[in-house]
Amino acid sequence: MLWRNVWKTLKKSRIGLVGLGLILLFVLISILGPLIALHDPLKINLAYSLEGPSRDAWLGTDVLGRDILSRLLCGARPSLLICFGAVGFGMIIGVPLGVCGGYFRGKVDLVIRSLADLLLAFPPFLLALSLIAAIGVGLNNVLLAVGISTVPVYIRLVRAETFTIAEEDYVTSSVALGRSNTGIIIAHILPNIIPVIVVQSTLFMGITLLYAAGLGFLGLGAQQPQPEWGAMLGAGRNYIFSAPQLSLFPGLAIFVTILGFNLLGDALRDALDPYQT
Amino acid sequence: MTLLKVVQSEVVPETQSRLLKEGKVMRKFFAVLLAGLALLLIVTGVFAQDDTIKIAIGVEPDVLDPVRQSTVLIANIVDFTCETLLYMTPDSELEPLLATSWSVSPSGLEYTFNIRQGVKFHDSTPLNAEAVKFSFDRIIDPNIPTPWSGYVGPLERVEVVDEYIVRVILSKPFAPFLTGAAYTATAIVSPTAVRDMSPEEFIFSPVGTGPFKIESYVPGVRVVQVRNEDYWGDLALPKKIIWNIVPEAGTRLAQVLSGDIDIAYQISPADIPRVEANPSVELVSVPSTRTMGLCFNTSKPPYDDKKVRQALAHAIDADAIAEDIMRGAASRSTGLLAPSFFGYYELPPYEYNPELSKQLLAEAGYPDGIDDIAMFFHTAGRTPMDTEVCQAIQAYLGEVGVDVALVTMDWSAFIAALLSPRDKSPYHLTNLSWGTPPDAHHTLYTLFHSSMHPPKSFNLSFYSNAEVDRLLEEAAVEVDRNVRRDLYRQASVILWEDVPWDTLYVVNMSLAVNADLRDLIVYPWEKFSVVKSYLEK
Amino acid sequence: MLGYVIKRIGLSFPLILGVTVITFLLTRVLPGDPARTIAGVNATNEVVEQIRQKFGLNQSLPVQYFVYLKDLFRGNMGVSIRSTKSVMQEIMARFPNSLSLVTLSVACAAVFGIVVGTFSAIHHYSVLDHIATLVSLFGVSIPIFWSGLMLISLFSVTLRWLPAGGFGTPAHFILPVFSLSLYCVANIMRVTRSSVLDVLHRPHVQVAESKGLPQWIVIYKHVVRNALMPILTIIGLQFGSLLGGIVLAETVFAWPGLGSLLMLSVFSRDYPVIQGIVLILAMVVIATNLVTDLAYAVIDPRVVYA
Repeated sequence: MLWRNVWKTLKKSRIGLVGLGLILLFVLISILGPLIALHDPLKINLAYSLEGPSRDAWLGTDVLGRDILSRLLCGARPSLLICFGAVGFGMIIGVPLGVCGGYFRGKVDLVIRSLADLLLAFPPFLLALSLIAAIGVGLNNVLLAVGISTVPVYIRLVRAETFTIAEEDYVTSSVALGRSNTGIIIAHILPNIIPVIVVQSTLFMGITLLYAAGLGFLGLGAQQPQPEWGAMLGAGRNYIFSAPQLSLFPGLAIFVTILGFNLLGDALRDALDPYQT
Repeated sequence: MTLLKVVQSEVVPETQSRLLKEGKVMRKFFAVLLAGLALLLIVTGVFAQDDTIKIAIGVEPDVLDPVRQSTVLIANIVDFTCETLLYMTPDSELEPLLATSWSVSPSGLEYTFNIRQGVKFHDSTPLNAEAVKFSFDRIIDPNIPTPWSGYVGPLERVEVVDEYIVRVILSKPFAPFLTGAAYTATAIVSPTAVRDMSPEEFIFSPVGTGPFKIESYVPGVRVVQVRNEDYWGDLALPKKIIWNIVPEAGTRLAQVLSGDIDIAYQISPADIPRVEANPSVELVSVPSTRTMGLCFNTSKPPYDDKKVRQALAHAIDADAIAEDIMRGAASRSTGLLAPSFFGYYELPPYEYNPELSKQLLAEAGYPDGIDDIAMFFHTAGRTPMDTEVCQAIQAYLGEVGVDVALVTMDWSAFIAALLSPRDKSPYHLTNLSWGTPPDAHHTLYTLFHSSMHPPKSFNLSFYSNAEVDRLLEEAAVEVDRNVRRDLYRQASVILWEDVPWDTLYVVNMSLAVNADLRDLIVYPWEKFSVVKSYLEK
Repeated sequence: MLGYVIKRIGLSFPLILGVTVITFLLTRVLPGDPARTIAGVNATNEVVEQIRQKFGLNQSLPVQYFVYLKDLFRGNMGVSIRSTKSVMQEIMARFPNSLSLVTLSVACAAVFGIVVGTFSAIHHYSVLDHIATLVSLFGVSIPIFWSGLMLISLFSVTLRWLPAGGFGTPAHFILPVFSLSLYCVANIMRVTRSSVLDVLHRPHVQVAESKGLPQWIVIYKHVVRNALMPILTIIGLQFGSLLGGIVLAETVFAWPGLGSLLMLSVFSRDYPVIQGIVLILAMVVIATNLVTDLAYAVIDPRVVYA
């Protein structure tokens, strides 16, 4: 019922639809990318180093002669995996903790809230970066590091929502009726925090992509020769003059995808906001 | 309604006018702020130093002590501050510097130097034979970690004959000794400074006799050298030299193109067309003595097997690397050394042949390639396109079944990792580029003599061959140039076949220089001098 | 009021302690011998032993933590492996550079964001409002490491108006501050807009308007002060967020601050410095939150009694 209304509202928002479209495009490219790429993204061909766009290589080639378009298409998948993986990780850890804190209150809440506050004391990108410095570089570690940096926000958000919902009549009456805690949580709390989680997760996808690309840019993400948008942008840094296409296209890809998530997240937030004027 | 109107007419004009005044004040404040900002920008522009030369380099100078500096670029900075006994011109001729004259005994074992009189170090200590002895003693001091003892060879002791006469005594004749006496590692430093300063202080602020003093060193940011007004010779033309540390070649180029700096060290070959197209900047691209190659750690299997190394040498298309990645700013290696070296010998290159490579690997017992991942340590920004070349090597080796993992490290950590002792050595492969004054000894001895294994010096392949050792030792003491040349030929043949170091190309030193900069001196061993340079208005 | 201030400051201490625990664990969680990690890959065995003794690394973890804490109190954060200078020295040399960059960026973003956000709210659903919303959505989606490069390409290389990175003159601030504020301004604008919009519909504002006061006064005296709370929150959050973003901004613009020092330390495996930087920046975030909370109390004294 709720979701049908949401969809109706969303359909009216042009911005939201554009966002949704961009995201679907991103997912599609991640899945199909390696299949539709014309060239092997790993094979080097020095004779074609730093060529501009041509019939063979629509976006040109990088310094080792690899087709930029093929690398872009194949580089979508690691980015997607990190996005969804990091957000998923944050959800799986953050949501239950937040629910517990908001529902059980007292000492449990104190511990959980302190944990969240502690993690939030670190600037999120910095937290991810120092985790990488500790555990090493590579895509898996980026997923873990970025995922961990999303946990405290989930905790805070879910906790606040749970707090409010737990005060509602239908919950207090369930408690009075003697329903088990687990039952209440599953029946009443979870369904009502889903909207908040959905909005936050959509927005988080954009943020995790940004962080992952940032770590890739710094050389801490996917290692050579694996294509990944952030890493490609970082490698293109030195060719700003001679071959700006190396920086332009991966950056554009990152930008457009993040934009998609932000547009959709914004529209979802408006659609799900009961106080919308 | 009427009441409100009354209230309004009494209250509002007052508040209105007060706020309107406030608004005016705000606007005025912003106007003044903007004007001030503009003025500041103009002023800083007008007073920009023009007797300062600004240089952007890509590597952070980890140590400025002449005896411990780790690479030519840092030695370049040190050269302006600390001087050597002799000076080598761009044509490889030796001229007096801190030594006014010298003589060699007939046995070749004793070198006597007359020290220039009336010279003072930056801390006002006088230069004398004692100071020279002190400085040379530091190179052979076992407590001082220096990779450059190879430059003074079999140095036995240094004697102070007179206040301004010093005698160096070798245990064996050493042909390249005088070249060593012109090299940064043997620069003369102030004994007082070394004694009075803590080692940590001295390595960042060495005290010598040179035309410039180190004014400040902000780690990771810049080194500032200021003119030595009490210099014994002609005063340098610039008042200040600022070395900015800018790790990105692209940023360095941007800075020289926008006029922020005067010399960009090592620009990317891909940017050469851009530099040539810009009238405000000039390209200085000179073949250097630096050879770049893939170094195998022969202490780690399977790279201890000659056949494996030869196989991998065939897997790399060095011509493509020199032509396409380096774009003419390098030439394919035709031997172990650059052609300008004394002792250069031309050897047939390992042709690019992936099929042969796989075949050789199969013969060595690896028909499906090598299972263990090869750790390839490298640093970024030291030589042009080093990262890209390493990636190309990774791709080529990948095609014959060798999985390479690139480990990028910052310069000082890189050197520290490379100089780890054998049992702790973390790399299988590394990109070794080596450039020295053009005498074969300085390259071949340091790189391949068995006494030069890390942590002592840069025999990074941990190569050990008794025959090569013997040849190199004999060549070092041989006085007859033809015999020497032949000894190096023999050593080269063995080293070529053993291929602990697969040489790929000889790199140019490429600088992008402000077109108004005059009298820049460039040396084939990748150094340059701005001591006599000035910016023409 | 004073009681609130003291209580609020007091609440920071456990947080600060917790932060030190985490940064302490940073070097202890690494594989291998922590003494060697702190001493550096190539340190001699004697030096490693010295470090082991000094930090009590052969003792239990809680004891090590107390040693660490004790050193921190004395301002000793260890020695940089890369430069052999004290970590405190390295950090303090660069701290002002980063702080000035972040403060200036947030300030510019705040000024611009509040003004445009307020305007957007007042004229909501107008063309300008839609444009502002779109621009802010774009701004928040552009990665700073991309916008920075593109800006350098345009303003430094092509137009040659501004320096291409580096530090020294006021002109060097322009591009980095612009890139950083671009990211912040979006969020500040959006929060200002929604917050002001919310307040605009409140009764007391409508009364003020009906009194016939000029819009300028209505906005200043009645709307902004009440809408300020969420705006302050977002400004504080952005400040914290930018402290993480400086790593990217300083790398792109070759800015000698803590961000570029952090990158250098990561590639040098210089763990004492990494630890020190993380600690200092976390402290700044805590301080920022504290200031924000205290600012709440100044703006809306009702908070004190909540």
